[in-house]
Amino acid sequence: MNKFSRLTSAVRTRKASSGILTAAVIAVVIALNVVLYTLSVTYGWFVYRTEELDLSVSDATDAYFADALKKAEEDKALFGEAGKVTVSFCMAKDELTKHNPGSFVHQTALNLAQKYPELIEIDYINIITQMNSAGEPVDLSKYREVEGTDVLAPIYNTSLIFSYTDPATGEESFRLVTDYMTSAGFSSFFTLNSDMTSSSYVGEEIMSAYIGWVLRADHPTAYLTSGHGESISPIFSTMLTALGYNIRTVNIRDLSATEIEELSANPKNVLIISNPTTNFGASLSGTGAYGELDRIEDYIERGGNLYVTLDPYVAVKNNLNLVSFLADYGISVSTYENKEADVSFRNIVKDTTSSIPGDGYTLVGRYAEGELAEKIRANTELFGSGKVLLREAAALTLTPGKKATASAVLVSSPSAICVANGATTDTEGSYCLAANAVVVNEGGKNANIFVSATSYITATDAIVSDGYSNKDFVYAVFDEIFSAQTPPYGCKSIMVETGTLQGLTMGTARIYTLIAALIPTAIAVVGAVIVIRRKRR
Amino acid sequence: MLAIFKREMRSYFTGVIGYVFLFIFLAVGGAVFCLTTLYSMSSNVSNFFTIMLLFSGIMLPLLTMKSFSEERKAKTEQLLLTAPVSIPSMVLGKFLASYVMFAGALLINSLYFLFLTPYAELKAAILFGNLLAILLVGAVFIAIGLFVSSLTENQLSAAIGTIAIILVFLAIGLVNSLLPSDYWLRFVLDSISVFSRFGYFSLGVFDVAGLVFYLLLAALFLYLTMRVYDRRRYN
Repeated sequence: MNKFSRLTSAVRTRKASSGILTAAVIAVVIALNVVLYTLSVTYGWFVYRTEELDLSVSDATDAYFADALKKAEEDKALFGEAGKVTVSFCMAKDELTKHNPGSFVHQTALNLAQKYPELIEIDYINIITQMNSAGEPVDLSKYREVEGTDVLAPIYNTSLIFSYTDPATGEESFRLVTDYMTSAGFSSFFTLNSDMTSSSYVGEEIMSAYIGWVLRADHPTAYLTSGHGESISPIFSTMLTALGYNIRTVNIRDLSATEIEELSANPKNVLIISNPTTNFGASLSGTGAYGELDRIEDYIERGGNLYVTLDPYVAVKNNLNLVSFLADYGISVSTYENKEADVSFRNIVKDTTSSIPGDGYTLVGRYAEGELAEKIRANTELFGSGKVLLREAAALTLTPGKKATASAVLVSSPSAICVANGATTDTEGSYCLAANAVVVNEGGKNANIFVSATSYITATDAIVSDGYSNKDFVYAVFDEIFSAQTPPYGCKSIMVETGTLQGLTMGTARIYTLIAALIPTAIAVVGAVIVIRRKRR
Repeated sequence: MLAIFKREMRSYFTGVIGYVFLFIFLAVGGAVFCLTTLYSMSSNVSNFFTIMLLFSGIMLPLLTMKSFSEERKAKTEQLLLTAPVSIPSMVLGKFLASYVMFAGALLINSLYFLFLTPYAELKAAILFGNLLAILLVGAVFIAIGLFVSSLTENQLSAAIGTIAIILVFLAIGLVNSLLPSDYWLRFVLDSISVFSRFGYFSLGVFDVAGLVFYLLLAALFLYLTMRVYDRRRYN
């Protein structure tokens, strides 16, 4: 064999062996990969972190319990022992630690008791044997009584009983919390979506609120009107309880003058008109009859407070009487009238700067000038951002009314416009979004009327949001305007992960977009300069 | 290897292609970021990385198409083959240059997530998981691009060939989703699907076997590129 033949043979052999080697490598890679994949799936060759919920008690509760702790100290000095609030679970302790969602509520109670041992203690009641953890009998029937009725409220193993005996007076106050809405129980400590799934855990706030409730002797009443399609979010009801209110539903047209007087007996009572969709009965004064709005006027003259939220998309004619009534107190809902078509629409505020990225109707409200607005702002900024989110809010017009002096609480930015039925109707900006009117009555029994023409302030997603202070805003309104009891400002809520950005405005989003656009542009410009200079050389 | 790497990096930034690649990648990345997070009011990072993964499947072939094709067309590959540089060094040098371009652009895009930190709690595990996964997949795409580029002197053919192979890997994932879940073939295809293995990382779960898979796949295509040049040397 000559040299050339030997070389050719060697190359051919090398090619063949190279081909075999390549095929073998490919086969080994595939096989190795399949084996590794099988092993990893079988034996769980994954690395990941599990996150545990932080149920520790926040500093916000220190402010909330400050007065109660002071009283406990004084009682101890006077009577040798301070009265404690007993939080009684109706389930055994070991069952609770495994119960979902009861374990969260239980842990929150334990954390609160650990933080405030002089004020709070935990107990476990067996509702079958009616014995507590110390083996003492417990009379559950007294906790089941509902004031003013013969009905007995049910007690389940997911119920809680908050009880407190004042050492000064010996009086016991208590509150039974039973879940009627879900089979899992403990729903009062969660904010629920319309499909009954949980959007956040608010155990710290609600538990603190119930503890605060039994510690206080005075419980004003929040009267919710009915009969006009009113709607109220469950979370707002819970917030009213946290503010120390008893909640009652009333049909105004059924109330006599004496009953109207009883409504305003406590200066901290409040009548809540929440998003009505049909008209209130017009004022019939002068005719000798006693219409619905006449009753409300009477109530206000006796010092009764009013809290009104109006959905601006309800047809103008369906709210006409109530809106005209409020105008007498200096607060009107801005309306665009199309005289040719004989139809009216509310002027909805739209802002493409001070709003969250979107259609411009979800506004971030600003606080107006004035003492009241300043006080409310200070409260909302204690533990949060202070920003209030409002969606689809009609503008309010404040005019010198016959009967009251109105002042703005929340306003839009100067760049906002008004839109009615899709068309721009005003571009002045700085529209009033929420206002309060003070009615000066004889005998010093002044009344307050708070109005906002949006149903969104207490919408669930606004209230549970960490980035906005809607909840603390509502608390502050009731605290500063209606003198409700100190609310649980800033108590921690743990949101279910929704992945939503909180607190971002359209203006800020545009700045970030500009930065993201500048970087590639800068590179393009630098590159063009370098390439052109090189070519010129 | 370092000399080849420096040469390649210089060629990206003395010519137009480097700047064009960075401009398009960063512009599209910025737009995708804004649309999937800021204007969707969402802190979900996975949407961004999934779209950028698909976009990389188009952009990276355009980056790698000239790597070896241009050398063949310009007849400069003879210089490379006879230079005192080993074939693995040559291949790795070109691979690293392309990879640095891609990784640098991607990391700049990823810095935009810092904008979201005041507005949402970003899960570090998910963010880094997605980033790691797309860097690994990018390595695979670049290795495929280099391999296809080494087979042809036509840059366009190299780009189209690379995209075609990437689409085959995509098709594996699609075919897989149509198979019954307990079918044995689905298990096998799952193990070699570039896009299926991405899923664990995007959930913030570090898949050890997935990491090895991507490294092996990239190494395989780099090895095949070396075989091509090794064979060419003896021809």
